[in-house]
Amino acid sequence: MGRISDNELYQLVQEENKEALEQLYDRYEKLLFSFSYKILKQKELSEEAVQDVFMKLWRKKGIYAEHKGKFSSWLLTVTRNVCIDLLRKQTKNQVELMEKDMDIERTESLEETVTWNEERKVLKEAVNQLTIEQQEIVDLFYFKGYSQADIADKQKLPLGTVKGRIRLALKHLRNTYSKGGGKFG
Amino acid sequence: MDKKMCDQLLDYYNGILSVEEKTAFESHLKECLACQEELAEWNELTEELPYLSDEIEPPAGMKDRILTNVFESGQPGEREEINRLAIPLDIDSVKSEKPKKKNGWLSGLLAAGLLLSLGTNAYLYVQNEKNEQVIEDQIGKTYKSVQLASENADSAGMASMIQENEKMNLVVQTHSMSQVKGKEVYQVWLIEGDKKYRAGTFIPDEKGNGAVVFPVTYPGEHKWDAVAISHEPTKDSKQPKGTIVMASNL
Repeated sequence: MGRISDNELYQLVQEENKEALEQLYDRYEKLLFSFSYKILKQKELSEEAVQDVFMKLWRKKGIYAEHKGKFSSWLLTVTRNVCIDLLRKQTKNQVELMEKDMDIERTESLEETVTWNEERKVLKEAVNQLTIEQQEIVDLFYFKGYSQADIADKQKLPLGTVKGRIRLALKHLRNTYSKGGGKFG
Repeated sequence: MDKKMCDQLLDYYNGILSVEEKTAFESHLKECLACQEELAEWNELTEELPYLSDEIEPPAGMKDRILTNVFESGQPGEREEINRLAIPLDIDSVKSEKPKKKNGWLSGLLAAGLLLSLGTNAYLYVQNEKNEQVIEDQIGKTYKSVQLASENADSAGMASMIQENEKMNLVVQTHSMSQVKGKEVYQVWLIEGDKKYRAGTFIPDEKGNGAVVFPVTYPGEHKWDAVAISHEPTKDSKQPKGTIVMASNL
């Protein structure tokens, strides 16, 4: 059975096809939830983030177009933006949310679900090659969405050097990653 | 090239700029080739980072909850109509009072549920009038009473806040609810902004009727925004895990 591409599914979503949105959902649920959880560290909020993303996909016509890059990359960028927004609101309101005993159910692993086990292993090895400072700066910048000024403050760096440091860390990561058999290149 | 503008690129990327700064930066971006290239570079450099996330199994029922909320939010382009319909039911004023307290878990159902309730209000009203009489005779002052918008057209419920001396009680009555299985229960929640407080647990009888009286003793001042009933896997949910079956603004 030929696999329908993300872009084709998105086109169908544009035509208000619910099954197409459901298929995209099945494909990306786990990746988007896991990514949201990495940023938010809270399951209820992560669910809210995933819902926001699919709400946008469904409601905002033409939100994605091919010139915006690969669908999956675009979707992950949208997810990150939503999460970082939620993260900031959460810090601001100091919302206290109880979490610990949320039920986790093994869902049936569908063939259609995006998995990224291999990629993660190689990426994690690459991260381990970075210095602790580099790992921290990537985390503050990408997963916590800090401003340059806050990163400078936290890492005790002159403001003007922050961008260079982040870029260096990410390039380093990328080089190690592509040598380790990652998708780059 | 405006160096000062260019320096904001990373904060733009991280969504930190204020609305005005963002607009200014975006018009700068249109003109500045260097920034366009740099933005593309950041996108590329970070493209694989999401795959660092450990695989986490989504919570039970997440798919149903999300797709229900998304589809009930209306078809693309229907937003206008939903807002218009919702105005008489005050959902807009609730939203505008608390724009920052967006509650994803609830807002979909409230909107959808309230729409749905348009059709059943008349019927519910008759029922509720009777109930209120009884409550007032027995206990005293009904502080506030609302009909619950129900996800299932057959079931109905109402919630009343009743002041008795210094104490506030929340009384929830429902009928024709679906049966629960095993350890499942219906859990009532009082909602204030983003926070959800447990407010009684019940299992309906064989006819689907259920009721609960809950003394509201949460310390401090509270301005309750809404009341909701969710279908929970066990009686121990500290925060909602299941789907909401009924809700209303207070």
